[in-house]
Amino acid sequence: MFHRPSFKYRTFSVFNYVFLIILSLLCLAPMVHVLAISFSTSTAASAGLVKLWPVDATLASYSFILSNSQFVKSFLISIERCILGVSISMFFTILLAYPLSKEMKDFRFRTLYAWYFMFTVLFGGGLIPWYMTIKMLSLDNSIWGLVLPGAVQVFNAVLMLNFFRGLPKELEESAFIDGASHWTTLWRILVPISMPSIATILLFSFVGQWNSWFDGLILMKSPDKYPLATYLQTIIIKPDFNKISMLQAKHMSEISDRTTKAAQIIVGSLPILLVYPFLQRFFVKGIVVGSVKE
Amino acid sequence: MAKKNRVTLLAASLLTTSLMLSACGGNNNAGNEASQSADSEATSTNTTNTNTTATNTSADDKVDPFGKYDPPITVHSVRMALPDDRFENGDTNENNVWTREYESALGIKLVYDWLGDPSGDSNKMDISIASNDIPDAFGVNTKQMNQLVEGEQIQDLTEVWEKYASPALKELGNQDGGLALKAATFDGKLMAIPKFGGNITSADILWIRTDWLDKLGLQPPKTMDELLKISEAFITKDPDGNGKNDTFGLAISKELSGLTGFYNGFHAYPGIWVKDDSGKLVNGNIAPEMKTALGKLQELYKAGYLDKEFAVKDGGKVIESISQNKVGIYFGANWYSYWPFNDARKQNPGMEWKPFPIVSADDKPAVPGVGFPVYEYYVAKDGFEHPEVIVKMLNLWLERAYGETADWAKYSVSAKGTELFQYPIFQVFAPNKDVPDNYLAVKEAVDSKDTSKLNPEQKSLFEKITAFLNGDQEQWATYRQAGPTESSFEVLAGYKDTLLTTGYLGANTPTMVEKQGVLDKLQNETFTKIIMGAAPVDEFDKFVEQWKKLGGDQITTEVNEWFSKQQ
Repeated sequence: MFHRPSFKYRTFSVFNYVFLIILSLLCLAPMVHVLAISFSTSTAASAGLVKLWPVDATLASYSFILSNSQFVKSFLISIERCILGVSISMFFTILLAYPLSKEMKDFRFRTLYAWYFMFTVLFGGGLIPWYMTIKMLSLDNSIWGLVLPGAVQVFNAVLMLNFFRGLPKELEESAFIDGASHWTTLWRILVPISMPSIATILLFSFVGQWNSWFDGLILMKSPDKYPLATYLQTIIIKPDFNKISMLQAKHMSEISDRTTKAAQIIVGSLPILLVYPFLQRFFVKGIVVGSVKE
Repeated sequence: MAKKNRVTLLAASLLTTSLMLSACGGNNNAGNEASQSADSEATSTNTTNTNTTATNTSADDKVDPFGKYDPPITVHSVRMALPDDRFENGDTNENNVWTREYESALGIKLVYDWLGDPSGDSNKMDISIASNDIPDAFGVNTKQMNQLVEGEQIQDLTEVWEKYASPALKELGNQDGGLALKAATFDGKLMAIPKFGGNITSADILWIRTDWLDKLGLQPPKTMDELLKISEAFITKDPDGNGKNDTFGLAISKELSGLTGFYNGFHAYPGIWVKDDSGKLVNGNIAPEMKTALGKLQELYKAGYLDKEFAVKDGGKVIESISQNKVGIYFGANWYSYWPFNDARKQNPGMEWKPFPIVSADDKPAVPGVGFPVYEYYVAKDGFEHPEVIVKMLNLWLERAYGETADWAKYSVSAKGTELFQYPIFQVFAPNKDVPDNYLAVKEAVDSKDTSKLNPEQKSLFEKITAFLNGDQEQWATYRQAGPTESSFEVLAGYKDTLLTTGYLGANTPTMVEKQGVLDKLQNETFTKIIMGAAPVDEFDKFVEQWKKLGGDQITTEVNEWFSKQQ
């Protein structure tokens, strides 16, 4: 039972761990660097003195961005967008995945519908028609323009339907025998046992909503309606050094704002970091093991 | 079997999605669609007040450039939003001292359909143009102007310019010999009003750390050789006195920007089109003088006089080195005193930068080469009833900022320092405004102590400059830019008669749009290799050949076609 691992195995483990640790440190370093800058004074940051530990530690940047009404406004818009977007998107994705997971004999036009949705994955209208459609539906300049166009994520639905198919058919059948309708079966039986895949899709959808910036830039009619990702995009993209004008240069001299940007990046990525641990517990396998006796 | 199919399907969909995403990213699509869909119809302005028979329509020839619309009209426009911190007293992008002035003086109610990303991203404008969702009157870049003209989305402004431009505006438009107006003229029709401006202010200045010069007992350079000696001394003689060889003379970055002044010293003119002996335009990047300049840079690199790591340091990093007290010589813009030098000075007491004219490598004087100063054009939507509002608003801008009714604190820079002059949607600057006009006026006033002849802008400069002369270090940046002596305006004033302006004033030609990226990359790679000694200087000849083959010849033909039409 307690036989010692072979020498080969132990050498491998050592190198493996060292390699993986170095790799994860490499991935962490940029984040830590940004974190360090966000806690440093702007003089130290603009002179490039900050490495992985704050220089002249200060909370000035954080108090600055929290008093910056635009940042707070955009942050709230992003939260609103995520809550609306994720719940709407989850609802429709599940509703789409369920019938498509049925077999032909239960749902005769399954293939037709499947192709109808696959088509939107294979071919897109392009940016201008997309914009014109949204504009004609009067969805531009409103939160719904950010939420509704991407409500049905076919890719997520495919993941979901494959998960449904993997579930034992007997579960559903017994529910039907007990008199449950499709609706009840879906929400009372299938959804509760599909948490691992729902959690995955939830995460995809949340990260997608939180990070997408281009639609905000195109659809919103004024910067104070930008979601956070769009707002961050506009302040963090460096002006082309060859093309900045004197006015921009003057502005830069007024606020050497590397520290502020860093603080905004950190605060902006907090929600994503916070979501992971909460969803972690759903990533468990074998939840249906033992539910059916064969 | 089913499983395999599913995997294939998944892979296919992933691939297609990525294709679609990359297709959406490009702006070119937008452009093409614009020209196809645009000419469909000119959506008539449901916004403008159609009842208006304003003062201007009554008399045909005599129109008042400042005539007021009664009842007022509404004009839709768009602009890049200014951040909140550029406003005071509760003003906003939509309602500020200038929008109120438009309404009270001209009877124009300005409504912004949207405010764009303050960092100046042009995506939203491109999409608006492509979907023909454009406002009444607005500003665009050169490429967008071409698109709009091709799509027949904007209207001819020739008559409007003739009739409504105030004498001051007309005079200003002719200061450059009508070049800017020419650039906005298509088939004899003036399709846009250019945002006039001067290009002398884009000429390169040679900035040198004079505190280091003094410390090492050196004189400012008159020739390229002297400059390179100074550069050598800045490296080897420890000008910052910290006992380490950690300083550079000439600073360069991986973009190879900030070398224009150096190239100009060898009579090479990168990035602009120069007339050759036969009267044709040739690209400055492939001229033989460029080879000489690169050869010199290679020598410098070999001798250890350039940053060994320049090829991985971008412009931002070079700025950091300046703040870290490591750079002694920097070619660049006249306003560098504001940024980055002013910041660097605050962190390094005793640091002093002074501007000098660029120096020549031989007995011919060095001539700075500059590009075309107009990068924005004001256009009116096809079918918009009052295209003259653009010209009227420009008249008002000149009048309130520089004319008899000028009030600096009310319309330009407030008492608190807020830059009100950023608010007007349409705005032009006299090409001669900074240099020589402001420079000479302020210099004279400093000598004579007589400020009666100064306009408000000049007066404000004068006050800052006298403050500096009385010991106010806060005004250092202003003094180094606009002061009577040892300022970059002084240097620029010296350039005035020799300046070489690019011969090509048009927008990007079709081949430029397609190939410029490739050519720039090729150039940057080759030049970097040559400077670092990874390739011999003769590699330049190969580069020229390749450049021509990869579309350069085509571009040259297109540019010269434009040029011969303009003659």
